[in-house]
Amino acid sequence: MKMSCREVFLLILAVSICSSSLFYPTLLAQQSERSPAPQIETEGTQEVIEPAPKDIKEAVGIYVFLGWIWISIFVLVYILRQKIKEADRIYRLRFFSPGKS
Amino acid sequence: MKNWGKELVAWLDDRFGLSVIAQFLKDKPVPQHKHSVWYYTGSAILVFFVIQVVTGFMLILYYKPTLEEANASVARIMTEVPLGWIIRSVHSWSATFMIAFVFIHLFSIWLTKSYRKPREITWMSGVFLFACSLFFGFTGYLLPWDDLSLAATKVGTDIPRSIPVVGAWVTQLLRGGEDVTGDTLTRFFGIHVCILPIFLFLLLAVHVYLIQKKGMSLPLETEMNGKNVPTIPFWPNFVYREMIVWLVLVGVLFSVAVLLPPSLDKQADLMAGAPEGVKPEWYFLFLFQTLKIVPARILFVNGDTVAVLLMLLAGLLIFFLPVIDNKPTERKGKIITILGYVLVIYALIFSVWSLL
Repeated sequence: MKMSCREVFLLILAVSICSSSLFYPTLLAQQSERSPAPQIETEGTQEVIEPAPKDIKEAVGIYVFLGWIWISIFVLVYILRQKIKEADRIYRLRFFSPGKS
Repeated sequence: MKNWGKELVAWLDDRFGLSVIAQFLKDKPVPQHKHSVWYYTGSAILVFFVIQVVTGFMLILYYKPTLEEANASVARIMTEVPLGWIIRSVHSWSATFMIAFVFIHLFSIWLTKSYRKPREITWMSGVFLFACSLFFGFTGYLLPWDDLSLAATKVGTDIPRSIPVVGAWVTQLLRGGEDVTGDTLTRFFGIHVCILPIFLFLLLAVHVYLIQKKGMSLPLETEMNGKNVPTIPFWPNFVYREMIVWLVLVGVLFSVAVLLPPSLDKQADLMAGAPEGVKPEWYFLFLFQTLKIVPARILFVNGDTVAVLLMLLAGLLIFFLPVIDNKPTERKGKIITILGYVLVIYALIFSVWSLL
């Protein structure tokens, strides 16, 4: 079964919507935990802060997101390579040469 | 749905003349040769710049550029704001990537002599953009207001003091006083988010316009071969290729930002002495190391003054490179190419030396 570029794009879109659901509960939970908004400290930090995911859920979400980014990149690169081949073929056939409209 | 889309495009075309631009891009030829890979560096810089603008807008919602709150607000971004540490990491890493690509772009133009007639102004606007990018990095480095950034800014803003006549004034202008204080922080923030972006957008507009007007330059070596160089249309053939590069770079950027996020040091103390191992950002390391090894006095003149004046002279010579290298095929042109290689090697060796 061969999928068209549009179908592949729609598939990526669907996967992205599903994967975004991994984030929303985390964000909503964090926002509800933070209400009412804390007062900003007027003194800065007294120790080095090493950035890291807040909990296991955020860590998993981030690594899933990173994996999804790379899968999307590989799929999009594949689609673009097909598009390049097609565009070059059309150009070689002089349908699309510079100077001609 | 499709007709609605077509109608919208036609409506916009009627008002903005988009078809003229589209036709121009279809007709614009992009030469294909062994140095074509350097053509992709320009748009890569633009991609990182856009990412910086977007993440910068996000950070500005929480950042507070005051002595009391700067460090605490960055800490809050990293610990309380949802995914704030990733946004900060992407902002920081995209700056690093952008400046790395600016260096590669500049030297690729230098070594292929693509600045030659009629592209002198394109080069000069590019050198200004390069300076803007470095100044972006310099002003952004202070904003977390931690020990290391304060010490590095003290060293950095003290360098112009060595320039005769105007030096002390420049240092005072940068610092907003005699020393680095909260005023410097507010000033650097203003420069970082307002003044530099205005300059950069204007210069970018000129630079991109000139590139479109004059087209892609052929490397001198390829042009001298005298053969007809094959070309492809800018749209869509070249843009599709560029999109592959953008996608991979964005993937690498996000991966690095997630895996190696920058930490935040403790709040700067104006009364404390400089911490050990003060170093500027990596792109200033070679200049930093040069200043470190210069003797205190050279003949009867202050060593720092000589070094800073030589750096300014080098900057001026780079700016006027297309005018100086007016006969690129002759001996002078070849010496200038060799000087380009020497400069790359010098910057690499001195940067590594500074890290040891």
